[in-house]
Amino acid sequence: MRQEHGAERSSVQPGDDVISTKRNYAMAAAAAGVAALIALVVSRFLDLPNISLVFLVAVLLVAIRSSKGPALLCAGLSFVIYGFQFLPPHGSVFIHREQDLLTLLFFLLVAVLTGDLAARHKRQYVQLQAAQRETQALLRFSERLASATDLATLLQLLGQRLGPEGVALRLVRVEAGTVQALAGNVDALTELERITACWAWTHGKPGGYDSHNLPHPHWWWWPVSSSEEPLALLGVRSLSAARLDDRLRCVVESSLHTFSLAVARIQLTQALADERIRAAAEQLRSALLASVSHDLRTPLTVLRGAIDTLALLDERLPSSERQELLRDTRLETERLDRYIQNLLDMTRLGQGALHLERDWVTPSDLLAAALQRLTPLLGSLQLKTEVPVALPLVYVQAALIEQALVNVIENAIRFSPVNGTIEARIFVAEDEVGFAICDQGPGIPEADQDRIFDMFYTAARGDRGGQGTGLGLSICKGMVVAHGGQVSVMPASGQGTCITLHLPVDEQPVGESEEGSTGCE
Amino acid sequence: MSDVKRILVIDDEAAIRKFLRISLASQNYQVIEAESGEGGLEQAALNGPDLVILDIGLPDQDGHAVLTRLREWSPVPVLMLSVRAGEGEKVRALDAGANDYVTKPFGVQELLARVRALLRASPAPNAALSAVEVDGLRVDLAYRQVTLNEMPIALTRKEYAVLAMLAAHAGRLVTQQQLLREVWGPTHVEHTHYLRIVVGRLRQKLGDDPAAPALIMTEVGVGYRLKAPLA
Repeated sequence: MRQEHGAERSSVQPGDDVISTKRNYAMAAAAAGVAALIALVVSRFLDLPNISLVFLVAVLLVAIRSSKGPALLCAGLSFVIYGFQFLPPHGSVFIHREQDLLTLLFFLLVAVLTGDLAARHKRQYVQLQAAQRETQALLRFSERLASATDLATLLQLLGQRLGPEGVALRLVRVEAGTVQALAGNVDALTELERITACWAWTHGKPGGYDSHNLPHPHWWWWPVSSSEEPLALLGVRSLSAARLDDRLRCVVESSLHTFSLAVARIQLTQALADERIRAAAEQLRSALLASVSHDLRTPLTVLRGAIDTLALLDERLPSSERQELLRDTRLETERLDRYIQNLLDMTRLGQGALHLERDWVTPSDLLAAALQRLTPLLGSLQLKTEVPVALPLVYVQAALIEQALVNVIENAIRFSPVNGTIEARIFVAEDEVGFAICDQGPGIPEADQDRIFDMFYTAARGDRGGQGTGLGLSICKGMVVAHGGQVSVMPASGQGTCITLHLPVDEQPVGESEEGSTGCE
Repeated sequence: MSDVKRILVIDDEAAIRKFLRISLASQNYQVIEAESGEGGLEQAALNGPDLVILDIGLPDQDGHAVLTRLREWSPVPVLMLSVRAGEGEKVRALDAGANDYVTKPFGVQELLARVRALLRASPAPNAALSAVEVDGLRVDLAYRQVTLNEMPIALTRKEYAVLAMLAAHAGRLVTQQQLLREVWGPTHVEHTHYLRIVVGRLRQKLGDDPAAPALIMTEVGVGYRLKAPLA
């Protein structure tokens, strides 16, 4: 079946066919003529029976070169000429002897048998050629499939192979009666198409419904499987005709095995990648748990110790020490609060697409809010702020960027030397607003600069204000990136580190024009 | 009635009620406690408190529902206790009639300041205020004049309107929706950027440091608050 279609496909166009048939018949006539001429020459030297052989050769040649029809024509013509010119009575086609009749029959028999034989041989040859072409095409196809890395590319390659007629392709899975898209076309399926997909999936056989009466062509489904279990369904729909023609079906079926192998390979690769991600997430979770238990307990220990000391030694403690212990408890609760906020933010970021409730915000308000929350932590540190007078508004979810700033500033506080200065600067560049937070800490080794935003990265020395959780900066990055911004780290002039949050400045909203209005005096 | 202000605390956490009771009592407020929304509404009806401190996360019904039911019959100032989770929730509560909020965990000083601001303003109608003085800033609401350290400040109509509204509620939170509705009109409630720009210019004219504002404080994502005048 496949080969037949291959033959059909590789045969010349119908128009050419007619021409070549005509040419064959002309050739048959010419061959008879040539044979007559040769026979005329030969008849001078040889007997009559030998002359018939000349014509026989002509019929044989025509039969081999073309097919039955021209061979029969050649045989007929040969006989007429033979009878007319060579058989007695000369100048007449009437046959007088039985043996001449036999000659005619012999001519015809040779023509039919040889013509048939030749035609079959030729057909086989053409088929062989087509099959070879097909094999080569399939080979090229499978080579291309092998280099594809996703399902969409596979479909694209299959589409190329199916030719320029235009077919829509899709890969789906059927689960519990619903069709889930894997790749390709995503047009909604009709109920009938859904049912045929389910049928093809459960029976593991190609299926579909098409008929010329349909208002639009339906999907035809082929199960894609490497073993018994179907991996996917390949849906093919003709874009032009109402139904898929047989040629397309054959090409799909011949490609299906190679295609299935490629799908299996890609799905396996994806499964492996998913597994790796799962493993990484698992690792992260356990690291997080370890961090949680450590980071929650440290402030709790301080709190418990300070409170117990106060309760136990109350009167005996000098007032300054009492105040100091109380101040510590307060700082620790604030630290706990920040930490819990970070954990919450992390789960928010971890849930993939962060839903942002954006609003227009004045950048300095964000810095002010973050600084205000951290004031108790500053202690002996100096704070220097620099905010330009004219600031564009940023379109962000304020609480998230505020938290990002809190994390960076807290980090700066933690690494600052006693009596150090922290610089918080807002600047406006071409299409961004930057928040630069600089400390005078030990700085970050250049090799580590890319890693400081990694989860659980904590610099070796960060003894001021306790050890960091290693979450703050990665959350900060997550928040900023979620807003389409980025974070960068640079050594500060002199000593220390500058961490900068870059927020994109969107097109500013159209303000109201109040410039001309009068004052209120 | 005596001059002692009564404060109703509706919170299911006994420990929170306890420290609120101690700290509020130290300021000579009389404290009434309720541990559920239902009980809180009952106490509010029975005792007619001057202020309600309401936890948004209550076990029997959430604070929003309590607030809505309370507002059906009482204009008593309500201070919400909320978590930092989202401005959305705070804004919802403020829209439903809460007057201010503090974020848990909050400092007692902050709470007492809010309580004072809310009690001072109630129930006197804002119109009764003729002028508000905060640090060097004086907003004369009757004569529509603003001076800073006795120097007149020229403000545009909108700038003045925003400042006047903040001044009338000095020390208390004014949500951005309230400001937008009042100053720009109900169709502009979403146009927060108008407000951002006007507040930015106001701060500039009043010499308020945008990175550490001392006069007009921003409650990010919620609203603004003018510094409370000295009591």
